[in-house]
Amino acid sequence: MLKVRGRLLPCFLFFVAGSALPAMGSEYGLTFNRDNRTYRWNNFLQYTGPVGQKMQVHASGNLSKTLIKSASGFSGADRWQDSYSLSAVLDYLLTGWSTIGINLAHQENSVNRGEITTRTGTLSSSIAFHPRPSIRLEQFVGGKLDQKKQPNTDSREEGLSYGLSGSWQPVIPKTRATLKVALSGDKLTAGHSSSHTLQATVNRQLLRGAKIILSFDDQKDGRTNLFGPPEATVLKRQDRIGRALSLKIELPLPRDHRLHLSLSSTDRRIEYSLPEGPDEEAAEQNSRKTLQGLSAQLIGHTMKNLSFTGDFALQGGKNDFGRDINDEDLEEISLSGSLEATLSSRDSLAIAGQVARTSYDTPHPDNFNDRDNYRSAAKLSYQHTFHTALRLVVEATVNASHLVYLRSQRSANNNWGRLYAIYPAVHIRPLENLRIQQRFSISASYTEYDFEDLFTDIKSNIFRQATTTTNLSYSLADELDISFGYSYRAEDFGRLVREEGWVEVLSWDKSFQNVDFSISYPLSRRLTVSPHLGYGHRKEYDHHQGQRHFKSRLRSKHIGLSGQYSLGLDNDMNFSISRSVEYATANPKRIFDRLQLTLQHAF
Amino acid sequence: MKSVTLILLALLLCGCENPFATRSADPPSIRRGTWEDPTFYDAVLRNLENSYNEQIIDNFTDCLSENFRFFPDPEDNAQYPGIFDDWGREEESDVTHSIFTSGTTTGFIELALVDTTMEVYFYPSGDSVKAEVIYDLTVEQEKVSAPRHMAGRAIFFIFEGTGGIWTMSRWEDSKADFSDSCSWGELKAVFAGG
Repeated sequence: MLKVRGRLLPCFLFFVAGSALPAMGSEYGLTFNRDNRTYRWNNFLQYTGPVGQKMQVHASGNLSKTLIKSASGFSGADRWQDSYSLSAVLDYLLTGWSTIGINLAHQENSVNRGEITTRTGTLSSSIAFHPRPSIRLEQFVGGKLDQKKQPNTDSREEGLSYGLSGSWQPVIPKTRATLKVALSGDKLTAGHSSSHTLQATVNRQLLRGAKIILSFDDQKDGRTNLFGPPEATVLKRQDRIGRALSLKIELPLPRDHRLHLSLSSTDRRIEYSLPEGPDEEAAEQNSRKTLQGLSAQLIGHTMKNLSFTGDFALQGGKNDFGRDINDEDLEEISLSGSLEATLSSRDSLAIAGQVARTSYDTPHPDNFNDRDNYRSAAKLSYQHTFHTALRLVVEATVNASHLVYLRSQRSANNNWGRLYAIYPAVHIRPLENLRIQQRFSISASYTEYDFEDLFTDIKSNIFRQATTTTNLSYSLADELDISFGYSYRAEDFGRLVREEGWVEVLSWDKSFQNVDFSISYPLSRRLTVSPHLGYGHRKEYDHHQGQRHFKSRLRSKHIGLSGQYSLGLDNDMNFSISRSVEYATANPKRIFDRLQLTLQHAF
Repeated sequence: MKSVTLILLALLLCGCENPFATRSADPPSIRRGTWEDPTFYDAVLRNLENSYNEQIIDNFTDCLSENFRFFPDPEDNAQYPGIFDDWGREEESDVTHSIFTSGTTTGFIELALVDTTMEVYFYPSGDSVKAEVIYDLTVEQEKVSAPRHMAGRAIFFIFEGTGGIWTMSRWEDSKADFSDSCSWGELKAVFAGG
C-alpha cells in the first residue's frame, strides 16, 4: 500500500502544481469504467503555459490502473495493471531563431502490484535552430535509466540517450522539395537501440499542368535486448529496415482528361544478429518482403454530367524468410473502372467494377502453397429524389472470388465464392424535425467447391439474408430528442448438392428482432440525461430431412442511463450506466453491468 | 476507320491469353482438414482449435478479419519489448505458419479451448461477440528456446461480416497464474524472433 501511495504522490503533487499555475490550453480529466469483471481508472493532466517572456513549459501526467477480477480463471486471483507517466519540457527562447530546453520524462508499468515492474526515465537537454524559414535543426542528449523487476531476474541499465534531426525545404521555382533526416538512439549498459530516417520528396510542375513527384523513404530501427524465456534469455539485435521509392507522373490530356502513372518499389526487412555479429541460428528468423508496382489511372469527363476513372495496376514481389520452406513469390494484376452520371436534377447513377488476380509461387519443393486468387466486383448505385422530403437510394453488388491451390496436397479447398446483394433505402423527412430512414437488404452468398464430387462430405453452401431497419428521430424542442429503431433480420444456410444443377438442402435458419428507444432530455441548464431501453429476440431452427426443429431462443433486455453535466466552458462530466440481461434456452440468466464516469476540466 | 480499329483491337484482345485467368489445379490427394462454415460465432473458435491441431494455415488465417489485432499479456510486452508493436493479420499469419512448420511428428500440436463464455451484442448490421476462453496448448516443436506448454485466458472479439461470415478482429491474451506455464503470446514472441 505504501508503495502505491509512493507512486501516487508525484502524480498528486503534479496535479496540484499544475492547477496552481497560470494556465494556457491546459486540462485534466478523470475516467472510471467498469465492464463486467474489468475496472479501469484513468487520470490525466496537461499543462502548457508561459513562464516569463522567454520561457515556455509543457507538462503532462497520466495515471491509469486496471483491475481484472478473477483474471486467469485458474486460481481466481485478481490481476492489477498500473501505469503512470510524467513528462515536462522547459523551453527558453535564446534568440529569434534558437531555443534551448530541458526535458524530463518518466514512465512506469507494473503488473500485479509490483510483481513485474518496468521503469524508464530520461533527463536531457535540447537545442533547436531554425536559421532560415526553410531550415530546422534539433538535437538532444541526456541520460536514461531503464529498469525491469521480475520474480527471478532484476535488471537495471543506465546510459546515454541522444537524437539529432533536421529538415530542409529549398526554395526552387515551380518545385516543392523536402528533405528530412533524423537519427536517435539509446546506448545503455547492455541494451542499445537506434533509429534513423531519411525522407526526400520532390514535387515539380512541368509544362501544361503536368507534374512529377519523386519520393524516397528509408528507415532503420534497431534494438539489442534480452529476448526469450527467463531460463534461456539471449542477447540479440533486431533491425527493422524499410525502404520505399516511388515516382508519380500526372499528365493532362485533351478534353479535361488526366493520366496518372506510378512506379513504386518497397523493401521491408527484419534481421536478427548477435551483438558480436551475424549468427546462423538467429538469422533463421530473418524475413524480407519486396514489392514492385506499376499503375496507370485515367480520369476524365466525356460529357457535361458524366465522369469516369480507369485503373490498371501490376505488382510483383517476393516474401523471403530465414527458413527457405516458407519463401514465396507473388504477382498481382488488377483492372478497375468507375462511371458517375448525373442523369437529371433528381437522378444520379454510379457504376464501378474491378477484376484482379494474385498468384503466389513457392520455390521450395516441400511447400505446397502455390496458389491463384481471382476476384471480381461490380457495384451499381442509383439515387432518385422524389421530393425534398423523400429520397430513394438503391445499391446492388455482385462479387466473385476463386481460390485455386495448384498442388494436390492443398487443392481440396479450392472454391468459388459469389455474393449477390441489393440494398434499397428510403429517406423521408415529412417535417423539419422528423427524420425517418427505412433500409432493406437482400443477399445470397454461394460457396462452391471445385472438387466436391471427390469427397463424401458436402461443403458447397448457400447463405441467404434479408434485413429491414427503421430509424426514426424526432426533435421535440431544443436538446429534447427522441429516437426509435427497429430491425428485423432473417437468414438461412444450406448445403448445395449437385444434382443436375445445384439444389439447396437447408441446414438451419434464424431470425432476429431488435427494438431500441432513447430520449435525450435537459433536466436543468447544466444537466442533460438520456435514458435508453433495448430489447432483442433471436430464434434459431435446425433442419433435418426437410423438417424444421426449434433449436434455441435468446432474449436480451437492455436498460441504461447516460448524461452530461456541464461544468462551464469546455468542462464536462459524463456518465453512463447500463445493465443487459440475457435469457437463453437451456442456460441460466446472464447479467452484464457497465459503468463509466468521465470528468474533463480545462483551466 | 474507327470501326476497323475497333475490330482490330477486339481481334487482338481475343488472341491474347486472359491475364486474369487462374491456373489449373491438380485433383486433391489429401483431406481438407476439419472446417465448419463460420456462420455461427462459436464455429470460429472450433475452426481455430482444429486449424492448430491439424496445422492447416489457411483454415487459421480464414478465422481472422482483415483488421485483426493481437494484444499480448502485459508481462509478455515487458519481456519482449517492441515485438508486439502493430501486430496485425500479416504478423499473426506469418508467425503461426512458422509454428505449424516447426515440428515433424504427427499431432505435435494439441490445443484445447475450454470454459467458453460468450457475450452477444445485437446490431442490425451484424452481431458481435466477446468470447472468453481458457486455453491449454502443447507444441512439441524443435526450436529449443521456445516454450512447449502454454496456458491462460484469451478474449476474442468476433464479428459478423459480409455473407454472414464471422471472423475474429481482436485477440487479447492473458497468461495463467501457474508458475510453470507460459502464455500463447510468449510462444508467438519466440517464433517472431525473440
